[in-house]
Amino acid sequence: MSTPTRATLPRQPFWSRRMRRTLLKVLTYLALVTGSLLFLFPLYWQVSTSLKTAQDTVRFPPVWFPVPLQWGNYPELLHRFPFALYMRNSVFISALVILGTLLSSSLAAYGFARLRMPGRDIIFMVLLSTLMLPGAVLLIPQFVMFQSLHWVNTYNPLIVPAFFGNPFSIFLMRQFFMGVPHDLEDAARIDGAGYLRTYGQIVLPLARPALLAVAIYTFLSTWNDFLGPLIYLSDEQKYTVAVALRYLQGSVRTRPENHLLMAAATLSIIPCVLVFFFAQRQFIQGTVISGVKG
Amino acid sequence: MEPKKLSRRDFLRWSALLAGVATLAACAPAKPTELPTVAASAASATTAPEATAASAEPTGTQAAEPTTAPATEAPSLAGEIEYFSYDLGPANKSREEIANAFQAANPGSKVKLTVLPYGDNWNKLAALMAAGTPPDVIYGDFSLLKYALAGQLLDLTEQFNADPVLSKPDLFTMDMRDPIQAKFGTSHLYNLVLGTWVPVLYYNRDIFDAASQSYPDDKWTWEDLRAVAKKLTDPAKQQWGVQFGTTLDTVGWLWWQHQPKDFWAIPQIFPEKTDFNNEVGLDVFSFWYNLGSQDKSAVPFSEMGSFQAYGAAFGAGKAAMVIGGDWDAGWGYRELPFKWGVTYLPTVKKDYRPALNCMVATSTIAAATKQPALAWQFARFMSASTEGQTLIGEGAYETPVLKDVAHSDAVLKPSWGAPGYDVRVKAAELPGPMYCPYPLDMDLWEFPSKHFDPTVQKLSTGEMKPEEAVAYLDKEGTPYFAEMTKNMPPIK
Amino acid sequence: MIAYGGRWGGLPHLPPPPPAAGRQGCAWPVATPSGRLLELEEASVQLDRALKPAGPRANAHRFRLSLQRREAIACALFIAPAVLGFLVFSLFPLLTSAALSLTDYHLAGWPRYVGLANYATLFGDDLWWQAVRVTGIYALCVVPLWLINSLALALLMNQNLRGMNVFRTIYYLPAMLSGVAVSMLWIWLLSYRYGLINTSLRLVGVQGPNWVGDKRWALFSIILMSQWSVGWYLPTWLGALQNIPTELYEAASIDGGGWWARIRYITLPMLSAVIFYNLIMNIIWATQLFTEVFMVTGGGPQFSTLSYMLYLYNNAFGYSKMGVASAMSWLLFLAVLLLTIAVFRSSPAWVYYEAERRRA
Repeated sequence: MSTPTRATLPRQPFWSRRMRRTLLKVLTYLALVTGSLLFLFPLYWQVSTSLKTAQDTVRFPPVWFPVPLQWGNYPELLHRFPFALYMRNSVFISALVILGTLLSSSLAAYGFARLRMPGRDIIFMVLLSTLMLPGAVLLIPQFVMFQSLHWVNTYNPLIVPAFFGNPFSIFLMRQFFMGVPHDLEDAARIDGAGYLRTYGQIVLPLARPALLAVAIYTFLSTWNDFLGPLIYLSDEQKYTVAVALRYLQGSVRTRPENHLLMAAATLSIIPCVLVFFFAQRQFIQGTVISGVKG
Repeated sequence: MEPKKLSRRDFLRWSALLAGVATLAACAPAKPTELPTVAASAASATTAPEATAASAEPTGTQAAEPTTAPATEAPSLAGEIEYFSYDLGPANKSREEIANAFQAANPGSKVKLTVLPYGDNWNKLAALMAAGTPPDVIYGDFSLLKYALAGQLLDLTEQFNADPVLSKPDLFTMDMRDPIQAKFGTSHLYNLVLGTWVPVLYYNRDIFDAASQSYPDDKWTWEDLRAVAKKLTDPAKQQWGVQFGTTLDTVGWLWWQHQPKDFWAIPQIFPEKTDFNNEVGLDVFSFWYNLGSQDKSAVPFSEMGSFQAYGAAFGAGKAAMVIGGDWDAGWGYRELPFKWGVTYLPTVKKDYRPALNCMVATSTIAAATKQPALAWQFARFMSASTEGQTLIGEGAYETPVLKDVAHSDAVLKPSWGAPGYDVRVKAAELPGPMYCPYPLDMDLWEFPSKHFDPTVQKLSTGEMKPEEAVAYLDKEGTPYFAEMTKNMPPIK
Repeated sequence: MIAYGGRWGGLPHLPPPPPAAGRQGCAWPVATPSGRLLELEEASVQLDRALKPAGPRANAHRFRLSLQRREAIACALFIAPAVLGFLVFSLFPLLTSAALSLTDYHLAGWPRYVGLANYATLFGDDLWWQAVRVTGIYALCVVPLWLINSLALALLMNQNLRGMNVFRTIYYLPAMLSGVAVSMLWIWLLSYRYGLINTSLRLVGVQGPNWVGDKRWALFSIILMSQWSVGWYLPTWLGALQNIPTELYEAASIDGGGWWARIRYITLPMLSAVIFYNLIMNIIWATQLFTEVFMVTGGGPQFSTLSYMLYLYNNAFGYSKMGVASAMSWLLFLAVLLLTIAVFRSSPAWVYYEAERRRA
C-alpha cells in the first residue's frame, strides 16, 4: 500500500514529457534549419552569380547552379580592376589600425579600470559619449585639419587616430580588466613592480581574449570603412576594398556585369569570413569578455 | 622749404599709392607662384603697379601653333600637373592618349590623371578646393562658376586673347568664349572649351521595322514623337514607345526650343524669381504628363533602374526611342544588340530648328595651381591643337570644336562605325547663340534633386497636374534662387 | 561609413561585450577600488610610523600622499593618448562643427555667421521632416524587430542540442560582412526584373513588386534587409542566457510555470540589463542609417527612404551646405541624447541588476 503499483499510478497523458521534449527539439531544428537556409541563400546566390556567365545572370527561369562554373570571371575582374592591389591596401591599413588600437586602448582601459585619479570616471564618461556622435559632424573639420597637415591622399588620416585610443575598445577592455581579480596585481605591486610593468607583464597576458575581440572588431570595422577612404584617398592606387566596390558599382554600366560585381563582392568578404572562422570559437561561445572566473 | 613740402607730398602720394596697391593685392584672389616668363608678344601687365593683381595670371604665352603644325617655337615646360576628370567610360583612353601626346611634345612634363565616378568627383573637388589643394586642370561639363566667383579659378582672359588660334573665331565651330561671359557680358574667361555635345534622338530600328513604322527624321515635331510613341507601346511585350533622358536634359531641350533667345528661365543664377508658370512651362510639363500618365507610352521612372543594360530600357531593347546625349553613342551604345539610328531632336513646330548646342566640355585651371603655364599649355593642347582635338574626336565622347578636326573623317566616321556622327556635328553647328544651360546655379544638385526631378516624376505618374507642377516649382524656385543670388559675390 | 567608434565618432555596428561574469550585471559598472591594496598601504604606513623613531609625522603623510599622487600620475599617463585623441579628433572638431552650424559655409570662400538661421531653415524644410519621418519609422520598426528576432533566435539556440555551433556560425556570418558588399548583393537580389526574389515569385506565378523602385515598398525593403544581421546579437544574448542560474528555472518548473511564464518571469528580467544596453545601442545605430540607403535606393523613390544621415550627407557633400549639415548633426545628437536619457530614466522600473541584489 505504501509504494504505488502500476495499477495505481495515474495514467500518463498522451503527450508525455518525453514526447513533448522531442517534439520541441524537432520543431527547433526545423525552425533553425529553415532560417539557416534563408540566411545563407543570399550568400550562396552571390557566389553562384559570380561564377555564371553574364547571360546566365539574367536568365529566366533562374540558373540555380551554373554549369560550367565560370572561374574565369575572377581573373577577368582582376584584369579589369586591380582588385588585388585594393585588398592589399585594405590589409595594410587594417593591420596598422589594429596595432594602434590595441596599444592605446588597452593602456587607457587599464588606467580607467585600475588606476585612480580625480575625475577619472568623468573623463571616461565623456570619452564614451563620443560614441553617440554622428560621424558626419566631425568629418569636415577633421578633413580641414588633416589637409593643413598635408595628410590628404596619404593613409595617415586613416591610421594615426587609431594610435590615440578608441572609445569602444577602451570600454570593452575596461569591462574586462574590471573582472580581473586583484590578487595578481597586488602581488606584483608588493614585489615592487611599477604600474607599467604590472600592466604589461601581468595583466595584459591575461587579457588575450579581450585583445582578440578588439582586434577582430577593429579589423571588421576598418575593412568595411568606406567614407574615410573615399574622402582622403584620391589616388586610385590607394583605394581600399570598400571604396573600390562602390567605384565598381558605379562604373560598370555598359552591359549586365553582375557576375563581376558579385565576384568583387565575394573577394571582399573572404577576409571577413576567414577572420570569422578563426575567431569563431571565442565569439560564438560568448565567453570572451567573461574574463577570468574565480 | 618748397622742395621739402613737395617731397613730403610726393612721399605721401607714393605711400598712398603703395598702400592702395598693397590693399588691392591683399584683397585679390590667390596668386599662383611666379612663372618663368616666356619670351612672347605680351605685355607690360606684370610691371604696372595696378590692380592687375586681380587677374592673377601672368602673361606670356607660347607662340601658338597654326592649325596645321605643332608648336615649334614654344620652349618646353617641365613639371607635373594633375588633370581631374570623371569617368568617361571608353573615352578614358583618349585622355590617357592626350596626356601621353602632351608629355611627348613637352619632355620634362608629366600629367597625372585622376578619374572618379561622376558625382563623386564633384564632391571630391569641393573638398579639395576647400582645403586649398585643388588639381591643376579640371574637366567639367558645366561652368564651375561658383569657384570662379570665389577666386579659386584662374582667369584665362589674357591668355585666350593673346593666343593666335583661340582668338580666331572662324577656326572653331562655336563661340569659344566662356558661355557665362557670353551671356552675362563679363569680361573674364574661366573655361576653355574643348568639345561640345548635343541632344539627339536615338531610335531602335528593329522595333520600328517590326511595326512597319518609318524612322524619325529631321522634320519630326514633338507631336509626331508622341503619336509614334503611343503606337509603338505594347504592354504585353513590356515595350514602351519612348524613354526620356535625365529630366534636366529633356525638359531643358523642350523648353529651350520654345524660347531659345531667353534660354531657360529655370536654374539661372540671376533671376529674382523663376518663371515656370507660363505658357511655355505649361506646354513643356504637359508633354511629360501626357506621355507618362495619359498615353503611358514612356518608361516609368520607378522601373528605370531595373534594366540590366546601359541605357536602361532602350539599351535592353524595350524602348523604341530615347532622347539622349550624343555621348551615349560613343559610350554605352557601341555594343547594343540591335540596330539603332540617330537623328535630330524633334522640334516644337515644323521647320523650326534653333541651335541646340548647349553643353560644353571645358577645362578650367585652379588658381592655386603651382604650374600655371604648364596647366594652360595642357588645356590649350586639348582645345586648340590639331593633335589634341583629334584625340578628343577619336574618344567619341565630345565633338571637337576645331573646325578642321570636327569635319575630318576621324570624327565623322569613327573606326567602330557608329551611325549619326554627322548629325551631332551638324547639330552642333546650327546657327544661333550657344548657352550652357545647367548648372549655372551655384550648387549643382540641390534644386534639381529636391524639387525638379521629383516634380517631373510625379507628373509622369499622374500624381501632379501640370498646373500644379509649374506653380510648385515657382513657389520653391523663386526663394531658392533669390537666396542664392543674395549670397553670391558680385561678378567682376 | 561609420567606422569602429573611432575618430569618425559615432557608434560602430557592434554588439556589446557579454556582461562580465554575471557579477557585474550593471551596464555601467562603477570601479571598485582595490581594497586590499589600500589595506596594505595603511599597514605599511603604520609599520613605518612604528619603526621610525620620533620622525616628524610629515614623513608618513608625504609617503602616503606621494603614493596616491604617483598612482594619479600613472593613471594620467596611461589614459593620456586616449584623452589627447579625444581632444584633437573629437572635441576640437565637435566645437568647430558647432560653430559651423551657426554659419553659412559652402566650402568655397569663408563661413558667414548667420546665427540660428540654419536651424530655422531645417524646421521649415519639408525634406528635413521627411528625413525625420523616414528615420523615425525605420527606428521604430527595426529596433524592436532586432531585439525580438535576435532574442528569439538566441532562445531557440540556447538549448543543448547537437550542432548548435554550426547554427550559431550560420546566423552570425551575414552580420559580419561589409555594408557596401551586402548592399551590392541586396541590390541584385531585389532587382525588379532579374532579382532572385522576384524571379522566384514569378516561378510560382506571382508578380513581385518593385522592391526598390516603388515608393510604397522601398522603406520596407530596407527594413527587411536590416534583419539579415540579427545574428550580431547572438553572442551577447547567449552569453547572458548562460549566466542565468538554472536553479531559477528549476524553481519555476516546480512551481508549475510553463515555457512562457519562464521567459516572462525569469529570462527577461535576468536579461534586462543586456536588453537595456542593446536597446540604447540599437537606437543609436538605427538613427544613423546610411550605407544601405546610400547604396541601394539613394534616398528612395521620391524620398521615401531618405534617412536622416543621408540627407545630412547630401547637404554636406551634395549641396555643399556645411552649415546646415552641421546643424542637422547637432539636432540628431540632441534627439539621440534625449532618447537615451529617457531610456536611462525608465530603467529602474524594468531593469534588474543582479549585482545590486547580491550586494544587498
